[in-house]
Amino acid sequence: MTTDIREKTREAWATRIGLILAMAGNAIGLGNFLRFPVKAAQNGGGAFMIPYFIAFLVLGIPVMWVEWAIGRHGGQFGYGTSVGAFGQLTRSRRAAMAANFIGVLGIVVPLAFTIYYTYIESWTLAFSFFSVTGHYSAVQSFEGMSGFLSGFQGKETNLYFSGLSTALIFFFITLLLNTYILSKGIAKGIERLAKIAMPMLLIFALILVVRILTLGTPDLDKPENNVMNGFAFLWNPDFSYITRAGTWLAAAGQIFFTLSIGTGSILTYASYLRKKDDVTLTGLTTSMTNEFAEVILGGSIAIPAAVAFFGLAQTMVIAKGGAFDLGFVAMPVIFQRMPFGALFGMLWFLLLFFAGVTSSVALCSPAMAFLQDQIGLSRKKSALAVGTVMLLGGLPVVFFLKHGFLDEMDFWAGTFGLVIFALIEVVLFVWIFGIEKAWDEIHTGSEIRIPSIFKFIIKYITPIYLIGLLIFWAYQDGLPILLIRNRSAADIPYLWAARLMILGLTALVILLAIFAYKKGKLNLMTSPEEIADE
Amino acid sequence: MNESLNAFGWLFLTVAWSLISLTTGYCFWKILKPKRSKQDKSTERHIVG
Repeated sequence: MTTDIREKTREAWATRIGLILAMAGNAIGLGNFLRFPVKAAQNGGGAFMIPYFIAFLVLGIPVMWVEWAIGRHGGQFGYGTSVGAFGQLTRSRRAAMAANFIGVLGIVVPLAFTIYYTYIESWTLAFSFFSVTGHYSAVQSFEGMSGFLSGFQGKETNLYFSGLSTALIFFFITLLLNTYILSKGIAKGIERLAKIAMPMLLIFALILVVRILTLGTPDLDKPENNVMNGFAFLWNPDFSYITRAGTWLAAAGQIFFTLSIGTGSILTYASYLRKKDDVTLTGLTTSMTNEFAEVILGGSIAIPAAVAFFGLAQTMVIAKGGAFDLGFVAMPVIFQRMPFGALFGMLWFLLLFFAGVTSSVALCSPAMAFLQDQIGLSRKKSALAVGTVMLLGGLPVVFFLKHGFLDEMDFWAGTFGLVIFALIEVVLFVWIFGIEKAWDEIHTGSEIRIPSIFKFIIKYITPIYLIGLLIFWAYQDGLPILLIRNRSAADIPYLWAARLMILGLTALVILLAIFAYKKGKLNLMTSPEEIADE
Repeated sequence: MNESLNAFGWLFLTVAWSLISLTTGYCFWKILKPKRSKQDKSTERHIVG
């Protein structure tokens, strides 16, 4: 049976540059342009970059290499997700079964993540449309635009929106687009999308950076409101933040979010590699491309523009309000005050849309691979199934946004789930599979030699860092959220509904995994001895 | 409150941007540089020999 699985032809990347762009597209998302500048500004500016780069080196890069290597290794046995790939890292049938069922997280976490992420992605498409058509051209103030966004999201009924119909239309369009791309497969769908979307994203970002850098001082009556003061807000270090645990947590969280590690999507993309394909240099390249987009491009657009137009005091308030206030409220107002603002507004939201869609299809890919490889569905049927789950799961997100449904899912899937899954990956690969074999596996076909200090980092520092992160988060955010403290009584049923939805998804994937076992598509011939004997 | 980019700010910005740009550039250069085929290498050895 194992031979059958291995011999089954799986899809493959058509070109290496296509793979790099797709992996970079997976990593470069809304977080690069919205979340990073807000987190940096909230956590000591330049001083934030110290824990940020430390987290990048000891957490981001190691977990990323581990995920690439597990994915490529699992792919050789016909497994495109952690259900199957994890089993191949163990030494006994029982351990393989346990590992594979733990691997269910590698499908549930990205699927739950993409359900609400796709909805946010649809906002970017809607706002690029609004920008071109002048839907919000009459709204000139931050407060007015805040009302416009709230009306669009259905949080209130106002003169701009009387219900959720517009939001639903753009959500359906975005879902259909995602489903269509997934139905086309790896080379003709995801890779082709990356080859179009990533260069466009880069061009749009460069145009916007140049425009922002040449803003100077928009209001000569307020000379302190200028772009350079925006850079100062983002980069002047406040070293008092270095000693705060919250700064280190925010930096580590941002690294997770931005590199898309712990989502299982890197693992799935890497499963389409050949055994001797490089993962070290290619993985590093995608991570560095992501950093370029985040620190250099992402850091040069929203915050400097906000300071130039709103001033430092109001920008601090906007940053405290979070990424949505910056991206969907402040930025449209800023663009309206510029010549050709409709055009720049469209570029900004299309940039976010391209960043979003390349990430959302990646987040759907573990579920797609599982349905195709282990359940035996065709690509089109798999895409239809994933699209249906996203639609059914997405509707409560749309309707109950104001009750905190999206935030609840974001915490369990998009924050806690990622770290837990990454910890499991590292422990399985380094401690169960064994560091020596893991090191050899990472270096198979390698085009660069990783400095041997990383062997120590991957074995000890990365897991300890992840455990520390989990403990701090559990203490700081986990307990209050788990016990639903500081929430209105009206919201509580919706928060439980969000949790039940994630549990329901988990139960569904477990049932499918049992079905795959019974069908012989999750073979337990995993021990090295058995494979050698075969 | 409205201070401009100070020396530390410039330092952090310059170091971060330079490190990221140089490493990204190096990675792409290493991937995209034309690779010599085995035939090229053997021809080279032949000429040297």
